[in-house]
Amino acid sequence: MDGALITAAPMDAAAVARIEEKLSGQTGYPVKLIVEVDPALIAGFVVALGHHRYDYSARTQLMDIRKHLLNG
Amino acid sequence: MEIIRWTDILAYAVNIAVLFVFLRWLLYKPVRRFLAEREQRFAQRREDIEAREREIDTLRSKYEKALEVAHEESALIVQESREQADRRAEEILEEARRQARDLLERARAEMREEQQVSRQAMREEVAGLAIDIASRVLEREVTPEDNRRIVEKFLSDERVK
Repeated sequence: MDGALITAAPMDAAAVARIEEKLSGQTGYPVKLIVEVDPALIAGFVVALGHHRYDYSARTQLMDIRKHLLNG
Repeated sequence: MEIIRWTDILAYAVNIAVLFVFLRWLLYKPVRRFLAEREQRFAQRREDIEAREREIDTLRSKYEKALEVAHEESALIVQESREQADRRAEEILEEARRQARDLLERARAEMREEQQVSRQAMREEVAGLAIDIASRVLEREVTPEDNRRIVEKFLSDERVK
């Protein structure tokens, strides 16, 4: 199963491999990720795999904080 | 000087008596009848006049009564009209008050809504500003070690979501 790994800063191959291994174990399918760098994420990364999206980016967390601030 | 003879006096007396009797016979009954008829006419006329006066009194009384009733009715009509006008004025006043209240309530509601919109806009601006500042600070402060910790957290989560 192919997916995309978008990171805020370049990630070494070992870390990418560990992420792929984690996702393979979870989905039951071998996972191969294409790595992209997007500094707009600020920190962390986002994995897009099929219909799933795993968001561990600082930008998303800041957006959640913003939503929380607006909604009280 | 003439000598008054008793025969003359007697003759005169007889003449007068005869004349009296004759005239009485001739005129008494007709005159009495005439007087009686005249009296009757006068009485009838008096009776007519009295009847007419009674009729006039009755009509006057009826007229006065009708006038009184008309006055009372007109006073009643005037009173009812006044009351109706008062009621109508009160209705108009109440309607004006109700519209004023509605207007005031609408204005208050609009003001509350505008305040709400302003507060929300301000909240959005403040939140946006805070996030913007936080983003810039993070961009400056985030280190590779932070990214590594995020990867470790991902890997340590039992089931990623």
